Amino acid sequence: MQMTESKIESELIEILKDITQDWEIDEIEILPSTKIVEDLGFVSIDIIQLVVAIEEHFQQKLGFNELLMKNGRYIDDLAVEEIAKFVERKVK
Amino acid sequence: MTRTLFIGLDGATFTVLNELTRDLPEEGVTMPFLKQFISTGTASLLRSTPNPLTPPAWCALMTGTSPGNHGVYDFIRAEEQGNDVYFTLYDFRDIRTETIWSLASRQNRTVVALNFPMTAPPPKIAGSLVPGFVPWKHLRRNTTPPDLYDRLKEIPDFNPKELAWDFDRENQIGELMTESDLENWVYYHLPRDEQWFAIASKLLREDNPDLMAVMFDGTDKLQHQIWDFLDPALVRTNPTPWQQRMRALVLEYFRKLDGYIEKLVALAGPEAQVFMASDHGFTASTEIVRINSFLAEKGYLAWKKGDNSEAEKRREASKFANLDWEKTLAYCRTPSSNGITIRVARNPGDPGIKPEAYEEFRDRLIEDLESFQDPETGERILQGIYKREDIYSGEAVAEAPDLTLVLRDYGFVSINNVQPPVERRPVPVGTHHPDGIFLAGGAGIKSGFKAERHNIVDVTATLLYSLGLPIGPEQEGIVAESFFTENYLMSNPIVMGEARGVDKEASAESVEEISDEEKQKIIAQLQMLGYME
Repeated sequence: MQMTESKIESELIEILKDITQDWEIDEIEILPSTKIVEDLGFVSIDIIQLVVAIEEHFQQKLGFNELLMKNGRYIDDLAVEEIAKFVERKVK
Repeated sequence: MTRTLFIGLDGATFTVLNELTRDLPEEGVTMPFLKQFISTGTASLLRSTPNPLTPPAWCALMTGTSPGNHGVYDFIRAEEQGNDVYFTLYDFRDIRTETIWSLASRQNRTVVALNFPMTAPPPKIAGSLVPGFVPWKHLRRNTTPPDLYDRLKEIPDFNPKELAWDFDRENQIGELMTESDLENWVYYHLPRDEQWFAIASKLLREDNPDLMAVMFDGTDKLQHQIWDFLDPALVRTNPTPWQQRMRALVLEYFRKLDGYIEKLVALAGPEAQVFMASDHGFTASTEIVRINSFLAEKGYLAWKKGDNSEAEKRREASKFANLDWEKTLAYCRTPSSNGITIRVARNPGDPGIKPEAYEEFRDRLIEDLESFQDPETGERILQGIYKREDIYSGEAVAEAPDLTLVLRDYGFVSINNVQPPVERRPVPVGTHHPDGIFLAGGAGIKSGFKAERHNIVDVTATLLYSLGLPIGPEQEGIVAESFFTENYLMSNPIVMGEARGVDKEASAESVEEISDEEKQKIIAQLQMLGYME
């Protein structure tokens, strides 16, 4: 059963749709479970741009290093819902 | 009616332009319009920022403030957190002072700004902005106003993949460039600058902004990779067929660039004032200086011992200051920084020297760096070693490297763990020289005048003056008065403005992170640009 999207998840999905609209990739429905690397084909520079887009949207810097680093190493992938949980915790 | 046209030429230098604007045997005049523009206008050298590098220098030119105030020192900003160092990219939000794009906008001048670095995410301006150094996949989101991208798509042959910064392509080319790679590198930049020209033409023709500004950066990219085909001191007397083809290809790029400039000047009209400037000049780098290897020999840093994991291999392959942070006291973070950071223990238990030992430690480090000599001649490798407070002032000084180095050949350092610390390059490569160019022409500009060298922050004040705007107290530069005719100066007196708070969207906190993979891509890019060995 699909969980109801939170408000922040919905906003993140809109940001991701906006970012990927010109990418010439097969149409994919972006869901909370969508992974940005595996499903959307994000590479490093895309993650940088996503971070900027999210911070611009919420009009504050959010310290994404806490999300992107685990035990001193950078993580391989992120689901929309993981980003949403982090943003919910950080947004003032 | 467009009042002021500004054309940025990244890395342009008189060393090359003087050659391409004169009649050379069998080659003729490659840039006839620029030749005429210089002979009927005014020209001067333009001194860049202490580290003559794209981000600090273009930010200085865009704001009229030096790095100690605008706060951008490099492509990459590092944050030390205990026993690790996190790296992130500078962007527009990190610029602490107001850009001319917003200065002009809030004083009722319309603006078009194209391809300037550090302008993403874009500020709100009265006009249009397309940033430089942004991959095509993110161009739409980073242009302003929101409908601009769809307007650009109306341009015949508009191709964002040709226009924008292409990380993947630059990664493919790699660190070592074959003859074929070098040739493709030139071919890659021919359509890229043509795309920027097409956008500039459309917006100049349709919008007639008060300030029209576009930057062409093929000049810098070509000069880094194929300097030996441009520097008159290095051009071959008996070239091979491939070298002849390369020289012809390089001249084709500059010939096209001359055509773009001519058409933009014509579109701006006879009443416009036209300015051109570069963020720095260019010269030949003849040796590799492995500064972290030298610091390791002197005991200031320790290399990290890898665990042979895939992540560690990627990290090591990135050649990005991969150090044992517990044992490192002083190191160079990035090749493009040409700087040394001293690790100071801010809290008990933190790695680094104690704050009270800083001055003594730094003096000893300087002495050791002064002893870095050519083993054959005994000549110093570093012609300049500057404490940050000696070359920077302002609220952002603490973010500057503790020491900024100037190599004897103006090259960028290597941070690789390779011996020996200094080694001759097999072929000279292009590197940044502190003196760029500053040109002016058009209504009210002196004809055939060679002015004294200006500072890069003077460009901003001069553009503000050309726009009929006051020069605010935040401006560190001066109007290049000698560029203008006496009549023009008398009928258009320079007005000094009053203090005003910074009006921009940046915040003081900036803590986003990038991954190892990101670092690798950035490094590959910097390698391509000649900032890395």
